Amino acid sequence: VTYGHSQQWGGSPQPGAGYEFSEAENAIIGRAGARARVWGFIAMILGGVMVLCGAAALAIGGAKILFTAGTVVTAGLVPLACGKLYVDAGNALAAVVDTRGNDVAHMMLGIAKLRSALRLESILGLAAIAAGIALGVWAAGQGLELRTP
Amino acid sequence: MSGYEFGASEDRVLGGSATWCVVLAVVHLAQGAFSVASSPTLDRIAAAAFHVGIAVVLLLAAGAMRRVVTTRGRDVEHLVSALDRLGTLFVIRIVLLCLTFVALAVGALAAALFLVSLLD
Repeated sequence: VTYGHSQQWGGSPQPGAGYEFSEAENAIIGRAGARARVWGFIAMILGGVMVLCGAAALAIGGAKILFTAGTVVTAGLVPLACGKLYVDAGNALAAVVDTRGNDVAHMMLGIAKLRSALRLESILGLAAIAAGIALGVWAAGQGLELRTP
Repeated sequence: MSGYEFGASEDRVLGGSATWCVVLAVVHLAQGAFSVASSPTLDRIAAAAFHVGIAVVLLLAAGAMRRVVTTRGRDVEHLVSALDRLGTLFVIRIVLLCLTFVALAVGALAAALFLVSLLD
């Protein structure tokens, strides 16, 4: 058993160079990659539509709806960015299945992209929760009752 | 090849991914809790159930990734298991989105029928 290097032959081999996943493993990796790509494309489309709608509303409504339109545009940028990362991750995982010789490198690229998407979603999710709590505390201080639609 | 072990740099990426999976799971659990706490209606309870489902899948994926880092001998098996869990996460999200669109379509249809009945 070698650690991080399954095979080395001349040059400067990358970690895991030469390692090939089995057919069964490739099936699961390919399926996960395809699902990541589908979700990524959906997220990008949704984000793109939100950005376009926000921009159109801003163009029509002007400064009167600056806050609302700005919120929609900002909220649309998140799935747009995450979607791109998920598509990239899916492409890297697909490369694990479709190519030979660099399976581990493609796999780690895919995992790194997934990590970036998860990190972005986590940070923005935490920020949204913090903003919600702050808004709730502020509303309670003002004697207001927040109603959700 | 089943005894393949990932190196230190690969373990760092996998460890980081596991950590962010756990953080995102906590975010989903909090969102589910807030959703029910704000108004415990049927739709919000259903939304909370999806949040909990996503959190469970993320925690399972995180556990598998963490095992890649902390154990020896079955790294590939654990990694493939983690990817399988993440694939399930995407399916849940796609299903949730489809259900949302169906609900919106049904709502829009009901509103349209209501307006037509008013005009008649």
